[in-house]
Amino acid sequence: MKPAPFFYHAPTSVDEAVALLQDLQEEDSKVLAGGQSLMPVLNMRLARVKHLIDINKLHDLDYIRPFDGGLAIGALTRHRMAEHSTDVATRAPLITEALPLVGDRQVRFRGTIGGSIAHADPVAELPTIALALDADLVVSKRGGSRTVPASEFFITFLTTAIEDDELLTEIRIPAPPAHSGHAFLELSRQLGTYAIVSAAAVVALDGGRISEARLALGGVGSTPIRALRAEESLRGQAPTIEAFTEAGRLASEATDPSADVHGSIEYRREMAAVYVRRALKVAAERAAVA
Amino acid sequence: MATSVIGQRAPRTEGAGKVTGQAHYALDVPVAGMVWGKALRSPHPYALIKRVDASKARTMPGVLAVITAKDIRNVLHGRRVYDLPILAENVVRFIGEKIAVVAAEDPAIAEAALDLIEVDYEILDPVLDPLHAMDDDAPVLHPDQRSYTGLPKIPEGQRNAQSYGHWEKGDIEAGFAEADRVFEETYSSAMTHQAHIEPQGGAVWIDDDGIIHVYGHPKNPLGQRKQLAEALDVPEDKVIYEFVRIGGDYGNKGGLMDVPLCYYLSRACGRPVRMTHTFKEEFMAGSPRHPSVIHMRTGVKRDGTITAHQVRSIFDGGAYGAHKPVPNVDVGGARKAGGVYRIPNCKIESYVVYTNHVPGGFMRAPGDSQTIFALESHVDDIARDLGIDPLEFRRKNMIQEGEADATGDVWRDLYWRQCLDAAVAGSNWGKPKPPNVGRGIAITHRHIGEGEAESLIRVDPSGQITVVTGTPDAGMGAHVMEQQIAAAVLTVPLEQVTILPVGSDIMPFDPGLGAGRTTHVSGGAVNAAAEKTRDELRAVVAENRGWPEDDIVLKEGAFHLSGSTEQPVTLGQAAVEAAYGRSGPVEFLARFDGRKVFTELCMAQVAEVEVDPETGQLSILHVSAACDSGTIINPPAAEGQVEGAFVQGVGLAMSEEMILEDGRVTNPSFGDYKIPTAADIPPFTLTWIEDAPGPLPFGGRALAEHGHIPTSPAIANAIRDAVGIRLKSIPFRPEAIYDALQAKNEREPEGR
Ligand SMILES: Cc1cc2nc3c(=O)[nH]c(=O)nc-3n(C[C@H](O)[C@H](O)[C@H](O)COP(=O)(O)OP(=O)(O)OC[C@H]3O[C@@H](n4cnc5c(N)ncnc54)[C@H](O)[C@@H]3O)c2cc1C
Repeated sequence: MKPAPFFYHAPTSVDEAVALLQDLQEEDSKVLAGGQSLMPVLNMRLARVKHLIDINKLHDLDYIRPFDGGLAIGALTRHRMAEHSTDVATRAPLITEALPLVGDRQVRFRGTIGGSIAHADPVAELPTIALALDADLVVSKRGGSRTVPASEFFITFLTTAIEDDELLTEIRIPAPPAHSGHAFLELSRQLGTYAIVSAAAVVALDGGRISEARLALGGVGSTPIRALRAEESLRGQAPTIEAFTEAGRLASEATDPSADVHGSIEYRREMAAVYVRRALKVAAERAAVA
Repeated sequence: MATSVIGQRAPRTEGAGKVTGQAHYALDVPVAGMVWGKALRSPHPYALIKRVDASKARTMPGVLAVITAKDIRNVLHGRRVYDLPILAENVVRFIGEKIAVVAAEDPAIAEAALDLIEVDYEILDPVLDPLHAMDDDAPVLHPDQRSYTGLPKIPEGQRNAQSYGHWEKGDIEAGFAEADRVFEETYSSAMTHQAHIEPQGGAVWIDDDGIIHVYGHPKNPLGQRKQLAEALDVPEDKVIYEFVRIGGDYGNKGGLMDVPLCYYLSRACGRPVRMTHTFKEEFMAGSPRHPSVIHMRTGVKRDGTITAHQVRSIFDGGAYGAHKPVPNVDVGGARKAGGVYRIPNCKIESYVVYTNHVPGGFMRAPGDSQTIFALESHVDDIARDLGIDPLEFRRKNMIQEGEADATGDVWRDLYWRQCLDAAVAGSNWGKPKPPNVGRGIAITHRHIGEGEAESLIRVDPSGQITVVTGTPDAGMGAHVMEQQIAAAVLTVPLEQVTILPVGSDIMPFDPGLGAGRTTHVSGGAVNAAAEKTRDELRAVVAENRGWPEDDIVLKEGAFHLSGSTEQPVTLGQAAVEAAYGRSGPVEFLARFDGRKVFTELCMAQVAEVEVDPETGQLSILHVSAACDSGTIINPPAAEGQVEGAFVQGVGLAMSEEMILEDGRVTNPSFGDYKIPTAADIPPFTLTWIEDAPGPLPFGGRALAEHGHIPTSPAIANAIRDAVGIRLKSIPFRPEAIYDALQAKNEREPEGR
C-alpha cells in the first residue's frame, strides 16, 4: 500500500527544520529520519500525517565524535555507521554489541540512531541501551536546545519527552566507568526480530568488588526500564553468581510486561531474571580483564 | 547415449530475465488502460448479510464499476467441490470473504469507495474449533451441502465434514489384543502460509473479439481455463490463460481466486482490470495449509513389533473446500499415517472439517507434514519408552521391497533403508554428546506425481531446436530441465535448444504443476518428443540416402552412418529434407503417459539440536538428509528443491504459525508471521542416492515434495533426546519448551 497524501518538506538545516516544526506544530506533522519505523506505519495506513518533515538532508546531524570522555552521536547517524565505528566500540561498546541485533543490514543502512531513540519502542535495543548508559538526549527547537536525561526521556509506549516543536539532535553518552565491562543479551525468536526480553548491563569492579552496576531491560514494560534496586543490591558485592541471581530476581520484580504472541507475562518475567543474571556475569567477566 | 548435458549445472533459461527485472509476472503485463479492482471483505467470521447498499460507492467520482453478488451470475465454484460463491450474497463464512468489488484507475479511490458500501449483518456464533464443528450441537455451516457439485463421499450425518477418508487393514481389535503395550497421544500443527513472495492476483483483458485474456498464475493453465470458463459460463476457447511467470506457488495457486471478479469488473467498465491481494489479504483470505489435530494409538510387542495402529486426523478446512484440487477433497497425506512401517492391523480415519476460518488450500505434500510430524514423534516415543534405539526401531519395522504398507499399498524400487543409513552416516548419531544436545531421526515416504503430457518440438533449417512448452514456471527450473532433456536426446549443446513457453491457446497438453510430477510427466513428454524428432528425422535421412536405419547414430547434433566416412547430416539439414526441401521448420508432437508408477520415494533426516534449559531457546546445530534422487538432471534445481523445502521445514518447526483469535488471523504480515531467514538455517548435509533408477527421464526420481516433511519431527525427537520432553505441537515456541521443562522438573524434582 501507499501512504495517504501528505505535504512533504525537506529542510536543509537544523534551523530550517525546527522552524518548520514550530510553524506546523498545531498541524499533524512528523519527522522522517530513516523511515524504517515510520514508513511501514504510514504505508499500512496505521497512521496518517499531514506534513512530513524529512531530515535526511541535515548532514550536520550525521556524526560520531568524542565528547567529554564519552561520545556525542548526531541523531541522523545511521545504525550501520555506528555499528562499525571504532569510537563507539571503545567508548560505548554496548552499542556495538547490540546493533547487529537491530533488524537486518538493509534496515541498519537506513535506520538512524536518533530515529530509534525517538521512536521509543520498548522492545528496541537502543532505547534500552540509552537508559543503561545514562545517556543525555539533546533536543532542539527554534532558538535553543535542552538536554533530557534518558531516565526522564521515555514516557510510555512510543512516547518521549520530545515536544511537537522539537527535534532530537544529539545523543550524548558519558565515558564508561573505569574497570568496567558491558553486556547486551536478548531473547528473540529469530535473529533480526524484536527482542522478547533484553538486558543491558555495565559492571565496574574495584578491588574485586562491584563498585557500580547499571542495568536496563527491554520488552518488559511500556518503556525500557532501569532496574535500580537490582543495581543497588550489587554495590559492594563480590561478582558471584548468587549476587547476580539475586539482582535478576529484583530486576524481574521491577518489570511490568504485557503478553503478546511472542511470550506471556510470566515467561517474560522469568526470562528477565535469567537475562539479567547472564548479562551481569558476562559484564563482570569483561570488567575483570578490563 | 550422449548425456553430457544431463547433470550439468546449466543456468536457468529465465534466470537473466528474472534477475534483471525483465520477466513478467501477472501484474507486470503492460495492457493499455488497465485499472485496479479492490474487494470489500467481511469483518465477521460468520454472519447473515441483510442488506448491501453500494449506491454511494457507485456515484463516487473516479469509480468505474462496482459489483455485488446481485450484479453477476454468482455461481458456486471450486477446484473439485463447488461450494464457494464468487461473492458472498446471503451469508459470510470467514473474515475476509468478499462481498463486493470496485474498479478505479487509482487503487486508493477504489479503496475509499469500499468504505462507502453499506452492509448490514446479522452476526452468528462462529464455529472455530474443528473438533466442536463435528459435534451434534454445532451449527451446520453448509446446509445445502448435499446439492454441491463435486461433493465427495461423506457419511450421512457427519456434521460439517468437507471430506472423509477411511482406510482399514487387518483386524484392529485383534491387533491391540496382541499388544504388550499401547501408546496413545494427540499431536497438532498450526495453520501456515505458503509464503510465496508474489501474492495471489491476476488481470483480465477482454479483447475486441470477446476473448478473455487472463494474466494470472498459470500453474495449470488448461485446468484453470476450464474452471474459469465454467464459472463464467463461456466456452473454453474464449479464455486464454496467457503465459506469465509465477512468483512462487508451493501448491497454492491452481485456483481462480480473484480472476472471475477481474472479468466482471472488466466487463462492467470496459477496461482491463487487475487485482492483487495485499499480504494482509493473502493471510486473511488466501488458501493456507490446514492446521491439524491428529490422534494416534499404537499397540506394540515388547520387542518393538507393531501390532495395531489407529489414527484419527482432523484438519481445519475453513469455510470452503473449494481450494482443494483432489476429487476426494482431502489433504492427501492423511493416508500416510502408517508411514514407512510394517503394520498388520491398521485403521485410519481423516476428516476435513468446515469451520469459520480462512479456507484451506494445498501446500507442498498436503497433509504429509502434519501427519508425519505426528507419526514420527509417536514412533520415536514408542521406541524410547520401550528402551529401543529409535534407529533400530525404524530399521526393524520399515517395510521392504514388495511388502504392503499400513493401508495395503505395495511399493517398489525401495531405497528407504539406504536413505535412512545415509542420513545417519551424515550426522553425529551415536557419538557422545554434550549436555542439552540431542539428536533425532525422522523419515517419510512419498509418491511420484503421475499424469500425461504432450510436448511439441520444432526443428528449424538452422538446426535450432525449439521446445514449445505449456509447462508453467513457478521458479523450480522446469524449463532448463526441459532444455537439458531435449539437448541430451538430440545431442546438441544447450544453446541450440530454445524453450518457448506459451499460453493455454496454443500449448501442447500439460497437466500443470503439482504433486511433484513436472520432471516425470512434462519432462517425460519433452523426452518423448525429442526421441520422436530424432527417430523421424533419422528415418528421412535413411530413406533419402539408402542408409540402413539401424546403422545411423545421432551424435553432436548430426546423423552419422556408423563405420563409414560419409558426410554426416545435421539436424537442420535433416529438417529441410523432412520438409521436402522447403526452408521451413518441421514439428513433432509426442505424448507421454506416466499414469501408473509404483516407485516410492524416501526422505530421511537426522537433526541435532541444543536446548537452553533456562529459557527454552532452541538452536538447530545440524541436519543431515538423504533421499533417493536417482539421476539428477540439473543439480542446482535439485538442491533448490530439497534445500528450499528443508527451509520450509525449519519454518514449520520453529516459527511459522498463523495465529487465530475469534476467527481472525492476528499476525497477517511477514513482520509477525516469521519465515526463516538465511541466518536461521543450520548447516545442512544432503546426500543424494543417485544409484536408484526411477521412472523420470534418464532414470531420475521426483524431488520436490518431501524435503520438509521429516524436519519438524526430527527436531522434536532431538529435543526429547536433549532434555527429555516431548513437544506435541508445531511450531515449537521457546515458551512451550520452557513450560514443558518446568513441568518435567516438577514431575522429576530430583532432576533425573
Ligand atoms: C524489518 C525491520 C526490522 C526491524 N527490527 C528492529 C529491531 O530488531 N530492533 C529495533 O530496535 N528496531 C528495529 N527496526 C526499526 C529500525 O531500527 C528503525 O530504524 C528505528 O526504529 C527508527 O529509526 P529511523 O531512522 O528509521 O526512524 P523513522 O522511521 O524515520 O522515524 C521513527 C519515529 O521517530 C521520529 N523521529 C525520527 N528521528 C527523529 C528526530 N531526530 N527527532 C524527533 N523525532 C524523530 C519519527 O517522527 C517517527 O515517529 C526494524 C525495522 C524494520 C523495517
